[in-house]
Amino acid sequence: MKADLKSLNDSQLIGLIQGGNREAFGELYDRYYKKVYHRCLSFAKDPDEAFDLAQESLMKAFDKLYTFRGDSSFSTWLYTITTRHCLAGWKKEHRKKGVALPGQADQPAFDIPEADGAVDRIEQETIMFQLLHALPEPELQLLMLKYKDGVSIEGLQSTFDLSSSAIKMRLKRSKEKLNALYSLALTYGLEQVLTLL
Amino acid sequence: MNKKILFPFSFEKNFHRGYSWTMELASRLNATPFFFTVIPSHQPDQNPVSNVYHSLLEARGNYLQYFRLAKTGKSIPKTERLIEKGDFTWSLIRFVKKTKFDIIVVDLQASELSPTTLQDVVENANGVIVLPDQKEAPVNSLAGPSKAIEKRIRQDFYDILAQSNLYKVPSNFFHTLGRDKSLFNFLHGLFRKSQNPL
Repeated sequence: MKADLKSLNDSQLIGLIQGGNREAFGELYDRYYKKVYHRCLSFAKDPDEAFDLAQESLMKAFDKLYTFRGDSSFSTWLYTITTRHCLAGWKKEHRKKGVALPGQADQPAFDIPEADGAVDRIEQETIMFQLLHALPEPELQLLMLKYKDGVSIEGLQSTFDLSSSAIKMRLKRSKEKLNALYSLALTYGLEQVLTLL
Repeated sequence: MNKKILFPFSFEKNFHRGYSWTMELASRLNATPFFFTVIPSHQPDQNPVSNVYHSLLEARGNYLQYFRLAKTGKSIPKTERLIEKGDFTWSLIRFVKKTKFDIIVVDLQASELSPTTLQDVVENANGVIVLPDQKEAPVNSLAGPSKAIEKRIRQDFYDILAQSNLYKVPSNFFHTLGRDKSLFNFLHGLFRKSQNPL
């Protein structure tokens, strides 16, 4: 039975789940829980918080499965729910800590190389630019030092007093978060995403 | 005060049954389940913490597959995780000495505990439930009409409890189950079989 389910695509599994098939639920869950966890890791301050976010996101998605219409792929739909849930948690956390919202803090200069007349590219870079500046200060600082100022990993190690692997991990998570926000902004619009931050 | 249930497990073993049973017990008692595991010092894996969380998410998927879809009407308890590094038995005993839990659920097949070291856990705990050895699950055990499955899942919970060994479990612990009189009576009978592990 389980082996048969492996050959089915996500939509077919969803059809079975909606009909009450438990094994199909297990198969679909198994396909995505690790990816959801790793997406949450880019938003969370530690793996345990990421775990909470992941299990809540998965629960939310599977509880709402009956609303899935198939307009996008299941993975896109699931990651959108995950990202929105992480952002909601993030926003709540920031409110608690009284962190300045985007636009309230002074924005450092950031020179984006202009693409050769490619309007789409400029628009995309503008979105990325605004999202970048909506990130929490430590993440913004890290990304700016690395990618704008070209500071080496060793240089970042001494600036942040962290190990090389910790710096690389933080860079990776910040980039993943930015990419997730960017995907959301393309789907729901920049304004909508900025209101969540 | 919210009751606390501890389930120690080895993330490298199959602990799904113990996880689900602990979740179900916590749900019925409105308690908080704590999942305790230890990353061995000699762990060769580069990212063992991720492996722990992956295994917990996998176990949760298994639990949801069996219990959540049964629509029992009970909310899913919020879990806590406790991850230590070192030797499993030593870490667990040290931990239960300093932190008291209302109940510790032990599945010997899913942990590094031996019957001898179980004695140390029992000595330092308020109450311990040792799950019976796990048998092979029957094929397609969850096939059939939804109501029949729900009934079987409820029965599984009681069956496992009936076959478990209970140590020092206080009789008043289950008084919160007043809403479910049959379970309350069932558990009350079980207290009489309290015994020593050795």
